[in-house]
Amino acid sequence: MDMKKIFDWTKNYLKSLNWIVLIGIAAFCTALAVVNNIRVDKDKSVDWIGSQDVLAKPAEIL
Amino acid sequence: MKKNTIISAVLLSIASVLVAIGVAEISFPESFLTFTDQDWLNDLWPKAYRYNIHVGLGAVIVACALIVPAYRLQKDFAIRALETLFRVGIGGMFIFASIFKIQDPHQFATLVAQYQFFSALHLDFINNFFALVYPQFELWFGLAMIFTPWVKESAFAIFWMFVSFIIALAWALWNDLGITCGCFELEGAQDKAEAWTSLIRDLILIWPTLWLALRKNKSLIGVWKK
Repeated sequence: MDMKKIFDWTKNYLKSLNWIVLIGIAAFCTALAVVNNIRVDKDKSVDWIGSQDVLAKPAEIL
Repeated sequence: MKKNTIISAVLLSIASVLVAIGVAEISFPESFLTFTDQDWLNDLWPKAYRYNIHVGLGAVIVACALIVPAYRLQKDFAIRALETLFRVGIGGMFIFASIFKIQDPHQFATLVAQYQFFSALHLDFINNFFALVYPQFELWFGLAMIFTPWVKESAFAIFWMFVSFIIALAWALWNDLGITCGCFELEGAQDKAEAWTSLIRDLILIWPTLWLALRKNKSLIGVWKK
């Protein structure tokens, strides 16, 4: 199967997807994530932007 | 025709049980589906527990082999049954995996940070937001796969989630990070074997997901309508 056929197949497949459903669910998930972070206890919530500490690697990993 | 359907159903049922046992042996040791950690087996064969991955892979291979005659006996029934099993199995797995991560975003964000993947890309600042949003993707695309007709879109999303898990696990193993997968629980650093077994599990399950991503959109009930 040559590259052009693979590219055309991929393009047609992506066109066949319902992007409204995909983006809609993704947007819904993002909104729920925001609500969840507000909903949970303070010690379980996170800052919106940022990261967490990288813990020290245990001395012995099996 | 009816006899072929029954035989096909029996073969697929056995294959389903074997896949469940295989995935449990590889990824969920000491669960009710595993054999290699049972006391009675280890009394007979003391090293049985070391062969959980071999038993798991063997079970999955035998399951795949059973699908072939089931498909040949009754193609239409086998395809419908496989689609049903994959949608419920993979969708259910993602729903189950998302629950603890949604309940404790802080612990999941800590776990994601241990992979040091975002820091390697100088994108540390999105670690927390990723940890908030990703479990929601798992939950809702898992639910969409089971309860909506949009199997193509949900399988497409889940396929790319599997790709991200495989990349993350391969990255952790390559860099010898010694961390837990964080797929279904949030315990501290475990042995490296868990990252390997999680990687093997994901490399197996990505293929039925890809197959589902190529199916026509139908609800689970619609799959069984003539």
